[in-house]
Amino acid sequence: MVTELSPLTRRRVQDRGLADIAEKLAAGVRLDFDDGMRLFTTPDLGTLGLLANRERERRHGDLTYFNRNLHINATNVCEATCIFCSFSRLKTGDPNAYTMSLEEALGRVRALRGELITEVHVVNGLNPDLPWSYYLDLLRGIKAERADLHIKGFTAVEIHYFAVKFGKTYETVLRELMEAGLGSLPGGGAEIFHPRARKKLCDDKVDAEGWLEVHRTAHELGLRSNCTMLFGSIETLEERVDHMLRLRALQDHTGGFQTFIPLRFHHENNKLERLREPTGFDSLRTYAVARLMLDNIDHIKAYWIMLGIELAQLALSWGVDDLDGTVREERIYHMAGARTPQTLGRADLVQLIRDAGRVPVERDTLYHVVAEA
Amino acid sequence: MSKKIRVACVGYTNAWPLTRFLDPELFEVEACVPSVAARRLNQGEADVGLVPVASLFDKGAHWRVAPGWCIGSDGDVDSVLLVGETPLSEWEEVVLDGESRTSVILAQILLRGPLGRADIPVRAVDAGTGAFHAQGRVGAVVIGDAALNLPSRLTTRVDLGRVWKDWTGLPFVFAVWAGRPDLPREAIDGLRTAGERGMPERALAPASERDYLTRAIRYALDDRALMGLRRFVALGQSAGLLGAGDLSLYGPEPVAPRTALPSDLLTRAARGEPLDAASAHALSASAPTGELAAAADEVRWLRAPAREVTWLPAGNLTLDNLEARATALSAKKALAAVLHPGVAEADTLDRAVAAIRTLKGDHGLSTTGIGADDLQGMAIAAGVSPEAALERMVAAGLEGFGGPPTRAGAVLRPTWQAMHRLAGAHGLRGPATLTLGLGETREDRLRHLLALREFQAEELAAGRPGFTALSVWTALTGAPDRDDSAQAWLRTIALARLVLHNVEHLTAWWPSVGLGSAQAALFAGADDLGPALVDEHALAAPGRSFTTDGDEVEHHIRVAGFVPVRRDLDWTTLVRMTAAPEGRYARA
Repeated sequence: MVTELSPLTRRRVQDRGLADIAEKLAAGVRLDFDDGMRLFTTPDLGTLGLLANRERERRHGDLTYFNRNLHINATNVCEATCIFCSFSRLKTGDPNAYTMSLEEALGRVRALRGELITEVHVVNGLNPDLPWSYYLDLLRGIKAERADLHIKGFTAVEIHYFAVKFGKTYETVLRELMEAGLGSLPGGGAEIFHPRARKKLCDDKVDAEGWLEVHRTAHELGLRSNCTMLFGSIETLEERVDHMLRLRALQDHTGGFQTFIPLRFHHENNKLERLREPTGFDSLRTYAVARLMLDNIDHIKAYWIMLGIELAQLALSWGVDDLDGTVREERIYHMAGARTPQTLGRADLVQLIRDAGRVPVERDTLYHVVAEA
Repeated sequence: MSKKIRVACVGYTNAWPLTRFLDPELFEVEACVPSVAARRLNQGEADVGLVPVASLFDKGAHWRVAPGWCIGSDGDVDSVLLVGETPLSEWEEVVLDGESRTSVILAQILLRGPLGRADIPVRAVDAGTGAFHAQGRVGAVVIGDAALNLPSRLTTRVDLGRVWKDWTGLPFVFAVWAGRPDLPREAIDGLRTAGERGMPERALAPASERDYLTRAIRYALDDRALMGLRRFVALGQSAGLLGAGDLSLYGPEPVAPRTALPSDLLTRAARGEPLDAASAHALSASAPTGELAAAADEVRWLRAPAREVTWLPAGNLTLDNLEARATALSAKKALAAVLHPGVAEADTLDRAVAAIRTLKGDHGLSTTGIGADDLQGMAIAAGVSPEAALERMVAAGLEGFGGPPTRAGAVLRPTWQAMHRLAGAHGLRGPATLTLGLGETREDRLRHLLALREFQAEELAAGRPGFTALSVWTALTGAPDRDDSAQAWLRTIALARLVLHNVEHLTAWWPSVGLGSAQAALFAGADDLGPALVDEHALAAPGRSFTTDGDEVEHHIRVAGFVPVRRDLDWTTLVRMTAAPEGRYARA
């Protein structure tokens, strides 16, 4: 289905100096760096949204995906010193530090026995005190408890950390995790690839090349993955476009990314408290530009837990087609001051999507339809 | 449909509630044994089939599962058993009756799991011969009619539906409707309808069948059944008993139903031409949100060509917290006080008059916020005419009128109109309001806007000042029948800008939806963000805590590309805030 722009919008696109970009999009011609910058800097958020919406509807019509999942952040002890993170450099024994025993982590899975969740999202701090077996046992334990759950686990940053810490290649790390039940990789830890911003944000964690290499390896082993971008901290717009283009280039080779998830920077309890958080304007334009630049990634996700449900709903008109899950127990954003409720009932999420004039689809991790919405 | 949908389905007793009422206009039904049904589907000789779950994972099968119904159990199923002459713990072999692969795989999973006989060898035998082979220390899986009519020598009878339920807590799904991925929607709906018709018919079945069909077999493919199904597939696959592949239901149609929008309507609306009711209705019902916003944005620029967004430095107060609050308001450089007089009692008018005088005289604050219902209520309670009540308040220094949340349709009430005429006659101005989520329909909202336009025209024609703005607010109840989400709020703002050609400003009143959503409204016709106060927090409902901090308001205006302008009650005094220096970074 191709959604035609109205004559009104065509004129507005012309007036905003975006006609050539609109034509490229209509002809399926890929946008370049300069196009990305022009889209980011157009003052007209509405017209940008209309262009992104056209791409969104061309791909998905009104379909809007969500899932039911459980988040397990098994430990927040972390060696890394990322300045945007409220977990940064927590040591075992620090007042806010925790590490779940396997029994504790599995108890969270067990507690949801009666619910049609389809995914466990496992993301942790880089904890120097945990052995390799902890992670394998965690995955095996989840599978033993709920064989039907898809485990989406471990960011590329964690995979890299495991490789270094346990003296294994990325491939071996991934193979052993897959053997234990890993189903796909989440997209976290990408932050901003450009070395200038990355050095300031997270100098001691895996660099862009390493992050991309982990995902390339995962894709080659048959794992699908997601990708993210942390926006609104200290990066420039150029660095955002650069980030998207690096993801697009890898996707050209592997096709393994399912979803791009722009992550809005939260500023409480971390070293960037003095920075203002990015506003709704910035979030919406970032989703829209992502939809337009990332022509080879199927889905753009607005993670409602960090955006707020109101803005997440509006984002469905700015290129977004996925609202993530009815999440259980999210800690990372809540420690950084996210005030959204930790769970949103399935019925509420379905209603939110319907109220936006869209069609809700409950999906599993790999975008199969799980149940009627 | 030109060609009928070819259906392959099993002729078992438990299938008829799903198959008997298939619409013959739509479906062409062939009854066969399960393995044949699966083969028909695989070879493209059928479009959809009621097939055993195991066959979904045959090599080359890429089928979707139809939502709605299945053949399952939730405890004793009666017709899928492990049987033998000796106790299960003494068996040395189990023979698997080939008639149902799904049951055979279930038996193997249960033997390895809760039955604790992972060690036992299994052997396949011909379909229908299971009971015959179950002798001595050989057990057998038997299904169907054979399971319902067992010889008495078979004293061990383990119901596999029961064992599964006790082990997992979940229903078990034996068979589902599955078909080619592009099965037409009407066929998917037709399968559901047939099941809906079949369910009550079970009660009319012969007594011998009735208990089995209503108690043993569970037909709903609901969340619990889907969980059972997913669990079985995962266990079967990890044990190597089921082929690879994913489970996927048929999804919904990708496009929400829309009615066509007359092609030139958006263009006309964007020119700011007065819209007739039918056009406004069409826009409200059918315009995509982005297009509706674009048209409203055009009108906004026609009316207010400067890249500016106004807001009113003001705060709320009541008669009870007056003194402390008024002091705080003037300390925070508020220009106005929004007074909420509350439920009117005999002395409310006196207290309001005194309050207005104090606010003006002692604190230099303009008072507004009193609306039609407040005025009428205070006058009645005080035993004076509304006119007399208003005159006293104006004499005390009341400068604005209106503003409390208004239910759609209020503008149609004669008393509401009378109070506003009265206020206008005294030179008082203020915003009209529209609150979403108070139980009104979309049509009610539109009628409210059209009535407001008409009333405004009358006021202006009569030489009275009329409304300064419309302020749109949403209660954000989240109730399924309310349609008061952020999206509805944004659409209403856009529609209001298109309909109200005679109301100058449009306020996106945002505390319930947040300033991020308010920024989106600035591209959908809004040019004002209403009252806010420096260093103020409001509305800390669960899950929402938005500040009404004036600094934040100005920051959000600025990063959206506009110059923030502090206004007074009627936009006569405008203080333009110089733009903050451009930041180095991309945050906006």
